[in-house]
Parts: sequence; C-alpha cells; structure tokens
Amino acid sequence: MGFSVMIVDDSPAMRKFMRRVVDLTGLGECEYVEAANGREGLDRLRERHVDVILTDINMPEMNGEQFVETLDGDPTLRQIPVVVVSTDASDHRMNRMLSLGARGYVKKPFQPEMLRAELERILGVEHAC
Amino acid sequence: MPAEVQYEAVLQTALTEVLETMFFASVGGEIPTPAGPDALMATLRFVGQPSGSFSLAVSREAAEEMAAGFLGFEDEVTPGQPAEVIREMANMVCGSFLSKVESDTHFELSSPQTPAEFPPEAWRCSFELENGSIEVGLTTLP
Repeated sequence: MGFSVMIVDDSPAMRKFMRRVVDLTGLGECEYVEAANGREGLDRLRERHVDVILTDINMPEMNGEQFVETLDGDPTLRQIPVVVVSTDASDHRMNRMLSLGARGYVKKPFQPEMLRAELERILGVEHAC
Repeated sequence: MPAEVQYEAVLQTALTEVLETMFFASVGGEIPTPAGPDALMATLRFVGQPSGSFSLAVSREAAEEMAAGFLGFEDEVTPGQPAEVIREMANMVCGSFLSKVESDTHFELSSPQTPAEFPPEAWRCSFELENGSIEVGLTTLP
C-alpha cells in the first residue's frame, strides 16, 4: 500500500522526474496528484486528500512560499506534511520555508536516496527498499 | 577580461554536479566550439548579488538522449519534451551556480525560456559531452 503524493512544480519534466524518483523509493504503489503552481495545488487539495506534498518554490501565480504559508494557515491542510524541493540551497531560504511550516527540504540537484530518506523520515516509514 | 571569467570554475562545478546527479551524464573538458546551430537552448534571468542572465545550449543529440534519461527511458520522448527538459536543466545549473557563488544570498530566478538565439552579449564557454557538447553563457550586471 503506497501513498498519495502531490507534486507541485511549474515544470512538467520535473514533475515526471519526481514521480519516477518516488516510484524508485520503495514506498509502495503511490498515487500522484500534480499541480503547476500553488494555486492549482490548493484547488486539487479541495478535491482530494494527499499524504504528502512535494513543492518547488519558484512558480508563477502562487509560489512555494505563499503555498506553504497558506497550507499552514488552514487547520485541515496543515496536517499534510510538505517537503520543499528547490534549486535554492541557501540556509536563508531553507530556514524560511521550515519556519512557514514545511517539514523537509531537498536541494536540487539531489540523489534519489536523499528524497527517499526525507520521505521515510516524514512519513514514518522505515527501511523502504 | 570580462568579469564573468571569475565564475568559470564555479560554473563548471555546478554544471558537472547537475548533469551527473540528475541526468547521469559526464561533463568532459572545455572545448572551443559552440553547441551548434541545432542546439536546444534555454535562458533565464536572476536577481541577487550578482544579478544577470544565464543561458544554456545543448547539442541536439545529447539533449534528446538526456531528456529520454531524465523522463524515463521506457517513455517515448515527444517533440517538445527535450526543450522542456533543457529549460529545467538551465534552472538547476543556474540555481546550483548561484548557491556556490554566494551561499547565503537570496536569489530570484525567472522561469526559463527558449530563446531564438544564444544571447550574443553573454560570456560563454563550452564543454564536451559524450554525444555532443554543452555551452553555458553568463551575463552579470555591474
């Protein structure tokens, strides 16, 4: 039994790559919900529940900071763990996103094992193969 | 000597890191030739310390092969996908480069675009790939 994973990124190629990486993590057969920006992500979340959100930061219409902040302000949505996946490797940005409510941060480029470890930690899954 | 020359080593490091980690491609030594007229290109702007623009051009065969690898070998790559993958590559290389230049500076990156031509004003350098070459271009604002 896998998880329901939301991937929020304005790059269709990166969304597809992320799906592949999550599939390789051994978390089971996951379902995916995709969105091109935070606004679309919020719209999707009104339609269905997800177990974890992977989000970029630099996106049009609603960026990752605004998205995470909005999620954290909603008593239902804030329960969903958010992992930021971004090219911004600055401590400033990472600390900012964690302070807004993100529970994890993976810097691009990343080894698949890095994303796996973060998902395992956040979802409480041990030793996914 | 253009100011961008000081960034050459960092650019090469960022390029190597991104291509090896995300695209499973090895970056060879610097070569004098550009990526070629049929190369796939991407460009984006960045605002921070410094500000400027970053461009990438990948020879077509190498771009298509890396796109197939990035998206999954089992999938047939549709016509627009290699260009989209190169735009994402530019985003990651630029982000990695800026993080190395000023590790604690906040940068804003624009969405990568596919330009009609490589920016003529950019300082540029090219590197060998297994099936072609990759050219990076950088312009920094004073």
